[in-house]
Amino acid sequence: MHEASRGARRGALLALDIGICAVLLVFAVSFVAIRSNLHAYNSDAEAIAQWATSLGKTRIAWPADKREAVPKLLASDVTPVLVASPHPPAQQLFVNNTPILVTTDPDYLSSLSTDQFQSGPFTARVIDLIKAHSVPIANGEAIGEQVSRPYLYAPLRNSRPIAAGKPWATKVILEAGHYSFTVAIFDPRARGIGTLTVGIGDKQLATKASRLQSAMFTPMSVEFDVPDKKPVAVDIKIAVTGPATGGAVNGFVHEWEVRRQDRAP
Amino acid sequence: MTTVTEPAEDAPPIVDEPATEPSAAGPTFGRFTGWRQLLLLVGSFVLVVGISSVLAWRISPAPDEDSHKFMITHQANNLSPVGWQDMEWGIDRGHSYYLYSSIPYYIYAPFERLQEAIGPVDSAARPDRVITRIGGALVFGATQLALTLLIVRRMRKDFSNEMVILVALAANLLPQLRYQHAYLNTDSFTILAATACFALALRLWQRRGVGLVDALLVGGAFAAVAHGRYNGFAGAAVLAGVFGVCVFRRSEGVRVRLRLIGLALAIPVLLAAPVHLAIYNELRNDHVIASTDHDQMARSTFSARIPATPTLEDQVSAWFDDASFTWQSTFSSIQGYSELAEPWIWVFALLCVAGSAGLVLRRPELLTGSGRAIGLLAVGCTLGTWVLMVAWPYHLGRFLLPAAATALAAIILGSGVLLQRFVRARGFVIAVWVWVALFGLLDIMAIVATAPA
Repeated sequence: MHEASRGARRGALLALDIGICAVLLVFAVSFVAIRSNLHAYNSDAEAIAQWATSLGKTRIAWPADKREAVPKLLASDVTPVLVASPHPPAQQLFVNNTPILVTTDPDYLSSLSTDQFQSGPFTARVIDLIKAHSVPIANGEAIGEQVSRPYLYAPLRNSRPIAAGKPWATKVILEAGHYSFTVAIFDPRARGIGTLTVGIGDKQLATKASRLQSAMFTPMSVEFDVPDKKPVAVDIKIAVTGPATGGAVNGFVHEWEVRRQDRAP
Repeated sequence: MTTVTEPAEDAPPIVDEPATEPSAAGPTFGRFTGWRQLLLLVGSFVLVVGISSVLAWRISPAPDEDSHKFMITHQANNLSPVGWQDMEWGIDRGHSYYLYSSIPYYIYAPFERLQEAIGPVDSAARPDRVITRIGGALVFGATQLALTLLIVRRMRKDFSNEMVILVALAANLLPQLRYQHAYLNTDSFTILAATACFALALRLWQRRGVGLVDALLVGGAFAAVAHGRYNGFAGAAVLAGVFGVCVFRRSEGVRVRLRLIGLALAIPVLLAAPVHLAIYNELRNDHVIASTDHDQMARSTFSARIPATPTLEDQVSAWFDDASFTWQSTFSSIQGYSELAEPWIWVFALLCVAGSAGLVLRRPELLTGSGRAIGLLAVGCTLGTWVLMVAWPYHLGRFLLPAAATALAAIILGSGVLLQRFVRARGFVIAVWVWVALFGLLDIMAIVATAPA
């Protein structure tokens, strides 16, 4: 009886030892697997960064679903801009001033490309940004800038300041369709009024103004239609106004986006 | 009346704790018996939970509470974790609590469900969360007091059960602790987990042997700390040190030692590591903890700028500038209602120095040697956490509480020892009552300050 009890105890302790080893082993393997997964594209990122810098280009459009390579890209002295993978709108490259596009589709935007480099699953292309600017966005696509949170997590960047009387504006090329212009803007002192304006030349397509809040709760958005059948340069503008007293007024933009959402016929 | 008895040399100790430590079977402690002790015990629980409940009813804004509430509401109704898209905008963007463990929020979840079933309580300052708040006050208040009682009982060598209860009560009347338990946060969980570490360290120290149950408890405490915030790690470090020494000095055989250490590691790995692996995988920026990411999100959300990393000189300068506020807010800082006035800061500084000095004294022998050692370690951890704060963006006193909650209980005991040296008849009793009175008065002031206009 006593022997049986000791045997059972020994068996239980052996099972415990095996269990402890299994738990620690599974954790170690999981950590190593996750870590190697997060570093899987480091060598490709480094090679592409070296190629880009050799061409004198430091801004790279990088697939958003491979954002784990961002630390290596930043360490390699290039600035990645995350874009939809594998087919970002060509105009997104112009808007973000990224002359290098890295994609997993080897043929994508080859017509706009002047040079290319292959590394692992990635094809890096030098893109003619002037041509890219002229490609209108298709229905369902969006272009814009992620200013403050370019990589989702650290490192974050300063939001873009918009001083009163000094609006920010850019031109996007759009063809006939229905669009929304959305801006995540706020004023930490909650004093300013933000105004979004969309126009073609002197013709105003849409405008919207609203008081800015101390944090960004709901992005400002204005919808508009582009009637022209042929691609046309559309001016988008973000302005801030505020009271004359109490010091300078600044709005801060976290991100902006122009999205094409054609209505059903 | 509660008194401290000076035992005659040949008289048995007035408590049934062994005079030497550790005993062969481990120490045994006097149960709280008799109507007076039980009344005092029940009254202490009611008082501690009651003060937090009144504050929970009255306070309107509380630090980051809306974002904690969002997490609690989500976890009370969903098994899935909160994603970044759920907290993309608003103040939640600046409080990326989904990058931390959700376990502390599950403690509030049953009360949140109750709150949802009952609906808003209109007479409360925050009708949508008062029941959830009071639930937290109940769980955290009662558990924290229970753990403090365990610690004080193990620190006690020669004073009565009534004084054990009063010391634990005094430590838990700390206004900042009452306030922490009164609103929705993760600090209460962190404080509790760290206090459990100190309690276990003391338990281990006083036992002659180390067994699987000890390793299991140590592993559980490590897991709890890992689910809390980083300022609770100091408690885990003390426990790890004590456990390591105990394993190597009080157990025999490599396999037994490896089993004990392995079990103490496997439990937190099993219970907490998956959360941290998930966060590591979510961040995808080589950060294994989310502190930098959390800080940058807050800066970006509320000021739109990410400041450059300050030099050490600037950090030290800011630390000194904030030192007074850090100390003050360790004791009482009720956002939007009351802050501790200047004279109190010096009163508590003096009392804490005196209490710490009392912990060093071997005589009068009111405290166990292990109790004094763990008490001093808790004081050291509090100061160490304060020093580490130099690299943190905020220097809030509540961040010290995980170690300070235990340190305070020890300091109260130490001040009693010190006073007993000079006032032999009742020095210890007087000191403990002074602490009870001081914190009780501050609690009353806090309740008055939060009274509706």
